[in-house]
Amino acid sequence: MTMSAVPPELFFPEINKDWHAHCTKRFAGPFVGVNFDRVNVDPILLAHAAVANGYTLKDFYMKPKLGLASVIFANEMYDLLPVAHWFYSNVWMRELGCKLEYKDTLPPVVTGERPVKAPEDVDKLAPVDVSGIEKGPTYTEFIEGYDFLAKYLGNWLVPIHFGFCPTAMSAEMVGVDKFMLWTIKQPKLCHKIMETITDTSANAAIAIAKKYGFAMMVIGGVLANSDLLPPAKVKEFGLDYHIKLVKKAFKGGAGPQLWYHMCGNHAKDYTIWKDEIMSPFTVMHFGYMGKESFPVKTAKELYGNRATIMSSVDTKLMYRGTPKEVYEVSKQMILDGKDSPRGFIHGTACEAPVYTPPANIYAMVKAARDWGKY
Amino acid sequence: MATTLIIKPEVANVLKERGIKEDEVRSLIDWAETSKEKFVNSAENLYWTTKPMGNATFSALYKPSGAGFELVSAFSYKVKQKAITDYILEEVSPWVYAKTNEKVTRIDADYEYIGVTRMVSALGCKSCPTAYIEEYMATKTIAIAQMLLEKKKGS
Repeated sequence: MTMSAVPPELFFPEINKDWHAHCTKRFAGPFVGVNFDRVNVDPILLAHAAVANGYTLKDFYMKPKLGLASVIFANEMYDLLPVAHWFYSNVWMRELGCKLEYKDTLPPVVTGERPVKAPEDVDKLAPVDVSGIEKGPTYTEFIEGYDFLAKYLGNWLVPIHFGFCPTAMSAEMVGVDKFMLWTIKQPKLCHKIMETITDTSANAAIAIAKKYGFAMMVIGGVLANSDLLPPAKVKEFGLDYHIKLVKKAFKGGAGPQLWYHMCGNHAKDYTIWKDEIMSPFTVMHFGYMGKESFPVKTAKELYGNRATIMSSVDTKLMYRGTPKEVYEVSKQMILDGKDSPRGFIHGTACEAPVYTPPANIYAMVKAARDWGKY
Repeated sequence: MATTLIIKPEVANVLKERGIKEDEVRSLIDWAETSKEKFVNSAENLYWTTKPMGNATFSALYKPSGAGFELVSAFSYKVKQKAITDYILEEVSPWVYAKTNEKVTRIDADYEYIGVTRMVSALGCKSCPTAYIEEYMATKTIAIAQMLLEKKKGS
């Protein structure tokens, strides 16, 4: 029998309950001010987990149950987190008329004609309501995965609304180059698209919260970054829509957990994100300062008294570096961040590259064991 | 003198569901009217007051009705306000602070619960002694957060 033919619940051995209980206590530490054991490590495992378990990247994105089960087993294997996650960047886009293509080497990409081909198409856009979300393909995928966890691995389930980056999603509706040009030449059109994306994404969060009672929100500042936009535009086309998204989603019952994942270079705009909506479970995570990993000391200084902060090992280093290099970088980040007042998680700048050498993930964990003890 | 307060059956049901006594709300609104510690939304002819009482903070939304008031909603939360850390002045709300007529904007404040201090977004102004957590935030976000904090703290 091929591995792909085996249902996920049968492919993996039972997770060690004592390990999971220990890990749960450790993971709670940053949020409750009682640090336990050592610094948590989160290399943002997604498709890497499937590959590490003998599946393919495409399997991960096309089979949410298998993807989640892979992440869970990899979490135990690497001694990482007690919670599972499964997502990709182009969520909620098919509901708005985009086509997704599943690739062998990339997460699903938007392909073909975009819903907005000309300025006049913008007027035809309307957000997808909660009921439309519930009938759509993205919600169906998430629910398939979460219901699988609820049935077989309930203590791993955290229903996540993946909001990704409203700016990047809006750009996909038009084509990235055209959208970036419109931010200068036709900002009103960009705002109309962003309103549609934001309302749709908030409705998705509400749909997930309606089913599971709450919904952790993962929101990105990926395209709204210093490489592409000046700080004022990052605020106008990034932060302002995060605020709208979170307020609407919270009103509909989503949250309380918020993970703000500012991928990319935020050298010129990292201070503006302090105006994000805050809840008692907020994580602030910046990817890069220029071409370098975002300095933990800077994150701690500005955000350490506001939220749990997360460090960012460069994903290129995760893929190409030696375990020794990853260990040394991790050691310094952990020493800089472990005493952050509202908690610290040692992470990567973005998801662990699919073919990250397992030794490099172990190097992050080893550094946490050696230098991140509480 | 006690304020005349109308509480319609549907609002009384909300109070019951939220474990809030009518006397607590009456006392809160009496205090707000005497002290002027309230926000006013003129466009909607609405008042809002918030006060820590015992182990919780109580909040009431109400409007003028005849010689007294009608209760629109009330809610409470257990997280305890500490310092207000940020005033986000450009996020203006429809409310003004009754004592000074200052515009009420978004603020971020630290809140403490079972020994854990975390930041929460709320509303307030530089003269306001108390940050007001909005109803959706208090009854949904904070209510679940309190439950998760209890669970996590016990894990």
